[in-house]
Amino acid sequence: MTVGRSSKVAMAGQPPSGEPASRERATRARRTVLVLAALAGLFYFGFILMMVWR
Amino acid sequence: MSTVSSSHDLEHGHAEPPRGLTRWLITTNHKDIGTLYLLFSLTMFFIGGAMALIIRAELFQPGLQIVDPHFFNQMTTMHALVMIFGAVMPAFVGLANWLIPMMIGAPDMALPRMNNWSFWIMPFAFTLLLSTLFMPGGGPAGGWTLYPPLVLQTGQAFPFVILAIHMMGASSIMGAINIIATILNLRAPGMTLMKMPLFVWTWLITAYLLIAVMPVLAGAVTMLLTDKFFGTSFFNAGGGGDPVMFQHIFWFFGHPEVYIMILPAFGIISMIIPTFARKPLFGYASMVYATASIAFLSFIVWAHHMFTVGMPLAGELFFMYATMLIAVPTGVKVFNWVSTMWRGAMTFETPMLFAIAFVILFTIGGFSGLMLAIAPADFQYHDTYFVVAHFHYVLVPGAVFSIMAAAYYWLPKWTGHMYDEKLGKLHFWLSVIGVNVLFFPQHFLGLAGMPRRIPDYALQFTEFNMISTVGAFLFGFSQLLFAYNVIQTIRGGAKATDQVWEGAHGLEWTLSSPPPYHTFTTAPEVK
Repeated sequence: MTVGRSSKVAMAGQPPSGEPASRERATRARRTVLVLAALAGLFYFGFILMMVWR
Repeated sequence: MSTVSSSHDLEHGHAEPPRGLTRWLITTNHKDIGTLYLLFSLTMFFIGGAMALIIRAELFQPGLQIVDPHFFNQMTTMHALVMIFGAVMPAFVGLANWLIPMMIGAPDMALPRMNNWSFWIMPFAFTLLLSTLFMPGGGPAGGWTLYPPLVLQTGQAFPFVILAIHMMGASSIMGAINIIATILNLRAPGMTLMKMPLFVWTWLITAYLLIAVMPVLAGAVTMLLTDKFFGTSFFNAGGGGDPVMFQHIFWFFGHPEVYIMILPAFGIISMIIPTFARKPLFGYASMVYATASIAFLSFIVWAHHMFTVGMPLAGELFFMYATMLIAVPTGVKVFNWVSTMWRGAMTFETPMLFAIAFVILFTIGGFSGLMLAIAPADFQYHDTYFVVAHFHYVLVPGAVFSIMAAAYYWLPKWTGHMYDEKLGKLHFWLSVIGVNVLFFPQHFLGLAGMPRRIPDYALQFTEFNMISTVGAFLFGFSQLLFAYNVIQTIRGGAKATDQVWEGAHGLEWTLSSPPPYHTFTTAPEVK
């Protein structure tokens, strides 16, 4: 069931962890997590506070 | 075809996973965690399925035969909680874990330790939930919707149920955060958002839905807890609260939850159909926009679940028309799947059979959903077996069939072995016959007025209930073939090639079958 297919994938260099690009990516991921966690917290407490206020 | 692997593993001496139980307990590897999720989901599928068979056995004949009504109510409640939070959602998270990093060329999930935690919360949450069946007063019996004041009559199990739901919610939120962080930050060079496979797109949107609504469910059940134990009156009319408000909050979570269980299924079907039609997906961009539209609309339709509580006419009209609007992007999707197959060089391996059945049977579920969206008609259908038939058509030949399709489709990649095609096809045909015999007669029962969530019924409903129960046992027991086929494929079988399917495209098919323990430690470049 296999038929050869020319792959569009080529190997590209990736900086090993500890290098600036990798550190930047980790920082970005951390920032994404913090924003999303804050958003989840906002929905949780927001709904309860809205009901308390009501 | 090229196989992408890396010498990185060998250089660092972690080409092989650690052995024994420890591997599974402390693993941070996305493939291991994906496997754990999928096996957990399969286990829960059989536990929830056993509960369904108890329900159907009781309903085989009118009168009370096998279980007492209170236990019957516990079964309907637990069946739903187990299937939704224990079977369907973890199955999609398992698929996301296995596939998203491989599809976007990432070495792993962005937060591998949190990934481990997300999974290992689940067995504890479900042990807690299932243990409530053995507590004084039994488990929750007021339905998975947990409406007050009925749910507040739950015995000693109540706080344990609330804690279990919080744990499931925490697990889902962490999983969703991880998926978004992975997709937004770890894509390989050249993998732009509009080059991502549809499965990744649908999961990105689903993850946002999860983050928006799981905390709302958590907030709602927290308020139930304080109403019960801390003297608040959020939903207690006697204290100035409003029980209907709980329904609003619950369904603000509950309706997007339906899409959480179906959007990843859309992604899977959008991957499988092009492979076996040997054509690119028709209307890729429109698929992305349709998914986003469905996700947006899911937030503004919740009150169609509660037309009968009594709401202003303007409210009924708004929620009716908003609900009907969902048919537009969903129709776009069905049109695109059919157009992808149009004049394709189609073959009908097991994953494709499940995918085609999905398109047809999910559409039936969609149409009955449109019927339910019509507010005046809903006054007749509400809380009848018609509703049960509707959502089971969406969730069983919809969500569950897509998971089966995905398992057959990617199993050779994961294990390196081909599954037994004959057995797969037998499983498909028994499932597709069983599921229709099980759920189609329930439309007639509902239209004739049989209420849902009752252990006994009037004599005129007997024949269709008998047929439905026969279908349930046929469907239920044919799933053992699936489990057997999966286990046999893991243990051995014909060697799978790297590409596995002739028409398969995407980064995961460039890896060996099975892929190395660590993949894409050097990012591929996507052109």
